Amino acid sequence: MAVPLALVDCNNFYASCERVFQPGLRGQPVVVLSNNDGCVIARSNEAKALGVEMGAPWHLHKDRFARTGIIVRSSNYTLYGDMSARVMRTLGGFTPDLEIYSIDEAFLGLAGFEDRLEAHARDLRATVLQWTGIPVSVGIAPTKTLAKAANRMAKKDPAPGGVALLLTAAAQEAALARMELTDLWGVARRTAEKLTALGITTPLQLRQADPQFLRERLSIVMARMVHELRGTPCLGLEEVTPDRKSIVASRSFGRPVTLPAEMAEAVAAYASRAAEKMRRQQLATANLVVFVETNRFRPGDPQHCANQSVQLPVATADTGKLIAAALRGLATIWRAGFSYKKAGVMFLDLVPAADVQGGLFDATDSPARQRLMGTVDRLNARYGRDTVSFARSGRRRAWKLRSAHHSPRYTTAWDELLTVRDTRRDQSPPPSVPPHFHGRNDEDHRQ
Amino acid sequence: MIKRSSHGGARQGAGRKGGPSEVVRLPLPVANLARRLKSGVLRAGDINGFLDVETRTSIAVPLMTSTAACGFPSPADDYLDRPLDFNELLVQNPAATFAVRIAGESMTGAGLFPGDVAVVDRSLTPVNGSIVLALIDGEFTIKRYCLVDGGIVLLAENPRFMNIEISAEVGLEVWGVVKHAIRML
Repeated sequence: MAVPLALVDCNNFYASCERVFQPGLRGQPVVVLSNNDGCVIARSNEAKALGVEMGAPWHLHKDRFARTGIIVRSSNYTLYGDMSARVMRTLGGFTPDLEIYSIDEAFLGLAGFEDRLEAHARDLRATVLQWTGIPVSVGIAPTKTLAKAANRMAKKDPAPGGVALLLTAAAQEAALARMELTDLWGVARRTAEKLTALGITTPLQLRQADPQFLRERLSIVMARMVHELRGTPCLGLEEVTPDRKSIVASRSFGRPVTLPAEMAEAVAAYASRAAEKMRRQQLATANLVVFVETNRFRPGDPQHCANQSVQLPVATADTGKLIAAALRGLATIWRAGFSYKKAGVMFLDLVPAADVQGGLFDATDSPARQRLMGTVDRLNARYGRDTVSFARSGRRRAWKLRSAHHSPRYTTAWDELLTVRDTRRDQSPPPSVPPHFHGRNDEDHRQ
Repeated sequence: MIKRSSHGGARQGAGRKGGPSEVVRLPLPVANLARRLKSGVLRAGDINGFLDVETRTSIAVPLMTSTAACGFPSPADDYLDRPLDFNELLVQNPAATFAVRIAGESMTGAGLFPGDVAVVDRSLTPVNGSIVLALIDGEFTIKRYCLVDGGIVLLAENPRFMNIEISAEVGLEVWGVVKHAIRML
């Protein structure tokens, strides 16, 4: 029997992050806009129900949103990256075998929990919600592809309470029967068309297809998909379809890392790998998060876990620049004397690489420009985005990015914390002042 | 004379493919693994294939989260040579610990003054006497959580402010427990 795998996925992640600190947004239609307030990159369920489409350009829909009461937030990647780190850290307490897949999704290997998978999953869900405020859905199955299908079920149907298990052939077939090919992970429209041309129109048919046949006619990827649908795991983490919102490269170390040079090497390697994945999709990024963590399952060891967000003035897909940024972030969180067990690099806010052309600097930066860039990056990383900005820009009209609906960086900036004031309710004065009351009034002072 | 005949014998290209082979007895999981390796579904280096094969005679002990990550080192450990770490002092559970800024005066009697940073731990369950960051009617407030006659009352720690009795009409949501206040003098 294969090791049960869980896919844990945050519900409406960006909107949920905003709601933790702004509970008034709960139950409301909320959209999150991309960098420069360009287009919609996230929607709460209520906004989806109102027909807001992913990618809708903001300037075209501004008035409509205002009229229909849709609340708008500019993307707050610093917050989202930090909240993601918290969710992942929490998940790490539920298994030693955690694979972070994207900013809001992770796979957990649940060996040893076979007799109580559902209870464990419900405990996990409740714990993540309590500790971080983020609601998640959990799908459990013998393979990643089926776990993704289970997760989708858990998310769409409120009845199972956020947890769905597809452990038996009957359950798996019943679930697949309710899905379209394009609902399957890694099957986009074009692949679905090719499958349909071969006579496969539903996920159930795909499961029953001959893997060898598909391997010859399509690709080994599809052959693997058949095995995965049947419950035979064959996807390594590197082989899963990369997420569109974020790209993560992260691994636990075989042996603990204690030297800064070793950690720098690992982080550079992860940044490099993530950059490759990003370039394959012709994307670039200006926002990344570096994280490090000691082995929590050795509580006798001194513990340290930290994450650092780094912002670049210009989105890039250049491995060199990304490694440099990741290392700068690492330098702020690395501490000597700790045995680190895990590290990772995550790229957020992925933008089409083509949109970054015409930026201030091109690929062949002169050394002087590179030093300048380095300084700018350090300042912006330390003091916040746009601390240092440029008078001119390339394609974008103004260097300073539009970000009119930005919520505070509640978890990374001391001067942007959630502020707790006196409420109307607790300010109503008591009906009468008791005789022994020693307030700061004039009578007392005159005594 | 024996005529060399072109009849009979092995057909051209007959016989077992793939080079020399031998018959071996394998346990079923290993045999399945070998079958998958041969069919090309599994690559030799693929770690996932081995997950099925290990026979588990020991039961993995599930790891509970109650004493979560990154906490205080055990007192028995000798780490006296590390500098004082304020994170260790103030943060028991980093994933669940948040900082909020106090801007109201309702808890001055408990030592929470405007301008202070309150360290809030969402993973703790409030008990009688805990100071909590709570949501009342969707508004944040910090009060002392008290259990009185089977009900919950949120006490202010400043005579100028009212206590809040929790009932069906006044709904309470505890956002987290306030563990420390930090004041810059």
